Amino acid sequence: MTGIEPIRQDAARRFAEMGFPTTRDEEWRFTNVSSIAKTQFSAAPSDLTAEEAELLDQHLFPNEGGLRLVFINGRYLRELSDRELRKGIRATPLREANGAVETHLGRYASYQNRAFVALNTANFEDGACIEIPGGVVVEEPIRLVFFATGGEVPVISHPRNLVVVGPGSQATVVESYIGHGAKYFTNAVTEIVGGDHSVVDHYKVQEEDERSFHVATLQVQLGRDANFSTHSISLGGGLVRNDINAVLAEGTEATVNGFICRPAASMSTITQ
Amino acid sequence: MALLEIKNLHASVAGKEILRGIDLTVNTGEVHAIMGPNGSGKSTLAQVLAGRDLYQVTDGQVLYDGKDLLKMPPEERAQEGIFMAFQYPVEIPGVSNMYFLKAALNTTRKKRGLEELDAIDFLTLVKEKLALVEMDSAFLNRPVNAGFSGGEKKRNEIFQMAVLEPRLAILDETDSGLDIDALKIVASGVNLLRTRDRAMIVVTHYQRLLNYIVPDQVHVLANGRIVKSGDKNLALELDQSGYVGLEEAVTA
Repeated sequence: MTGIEPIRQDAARRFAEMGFPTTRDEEWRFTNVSSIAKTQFSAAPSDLTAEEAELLDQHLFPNEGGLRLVFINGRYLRELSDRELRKGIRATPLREANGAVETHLGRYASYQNRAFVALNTANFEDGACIEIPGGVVVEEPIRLVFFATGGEVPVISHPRNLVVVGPGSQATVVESYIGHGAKYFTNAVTEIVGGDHSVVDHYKVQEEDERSFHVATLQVQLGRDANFSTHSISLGGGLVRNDINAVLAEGTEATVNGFICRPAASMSTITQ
Repeated sequence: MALLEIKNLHASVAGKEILRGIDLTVNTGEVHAIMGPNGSGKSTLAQVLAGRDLYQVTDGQVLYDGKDLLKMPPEERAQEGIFMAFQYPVEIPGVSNMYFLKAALNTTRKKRGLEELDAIDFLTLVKEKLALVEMDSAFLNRPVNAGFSGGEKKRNEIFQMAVLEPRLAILDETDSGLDIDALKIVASGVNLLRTRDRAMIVVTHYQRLLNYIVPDQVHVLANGRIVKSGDKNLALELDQSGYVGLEEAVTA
């Protein structure tokens, strides 16, 4: 990932300039993140307690042949992942990916005016990199599972995903965010590139701990005649924010659906 | 029998030449696929055949059933049995699908010397055709394409084709934006409409659609000319090698 080091440094600089948004920022008028800004976060642990391992296991559906990448606090967990390569599909943790990361990562989710994207770009440790060549229909959903654990002190993780779907290809990507424990903060960014005539269905299922913070940015870049849908299902979390941005081209179709099932929490979804 | 004969067709838009000498003969009962990269003139060819006035035909001839097609206004072409499924189907708010189709069908029937269908006969016909594209009858009462998803619009186009029973159907990138399940529905609808006295021209960017609608002939368009013709295997070949070599061959 050395090729993107300048981007990361620039993002860190930009975040230092901006700081966290306040309710005086138009896009954050209804999401007060001062509780995030006030919390001192530490790096999250990589290992799981027996209880956490059991909880995670409950959330991993029996594998039915699809690709699955599992991350603990934003770090890749090989033992629970299943990434059989076929039809030229590449599913790798970001750290092990090369070309696509340098070509695409950070090119779409601009961090110039988005503090949480800047924070993620500067600090992410890992995430999923999915590359699908042109003309391929991936029947089974590709599942990305992010498990967060909070300990004695508040911890933070920055999952970062890149999904590149080639021209004329079809794929379904499911991001699941599950968490357990006291205060923790998941700050995720996913970039999806859909080539000309591609069909991409994206699902995000958020079942974080009710004491946690969850901020997620989805940035979608679509080619001509592409067909994209995203369905965000929010079931957990204390403070939750989903930002969804899509750049369309001629003949593109994009559907954005959201389902929120925790009226007591502060939860908002913004689309642009 | 040659249903459509295109000879040395040249067409331009706003002074820019897009079609630069197309020769193509389509016989009844045949399905021809037109493939090619973006900007090769595929859609222009389809639109010129349908009679869109945006394009000026600068040279050449098109005979449809022996008649001069280019002299006919679009509505006459439709009445003569030419149907076009658009890449981006238009929305017609305020006009129900049912009303639109009934008017269209009865106009063509009159032209063919057939009796107009009354509401009851029409409904029977329409319900039968809806099943072809697995569409719900609720679609009939909705305004034409208004608020339809991309996939619904494309299915609606095939449904219109099923009702109107054209002699020559031109499908312009009917597969664009479709997921694999919708693609199969559209393709099976098209296949059920393949008959010995009907011809189809299927314009597509990708070979994918041709797995389901198997063409009799495949033509590759590049820079406004047909640069290669062959059977269905040509489409597979293109899928492997892409258009690059063919485009270069023309510009060289």
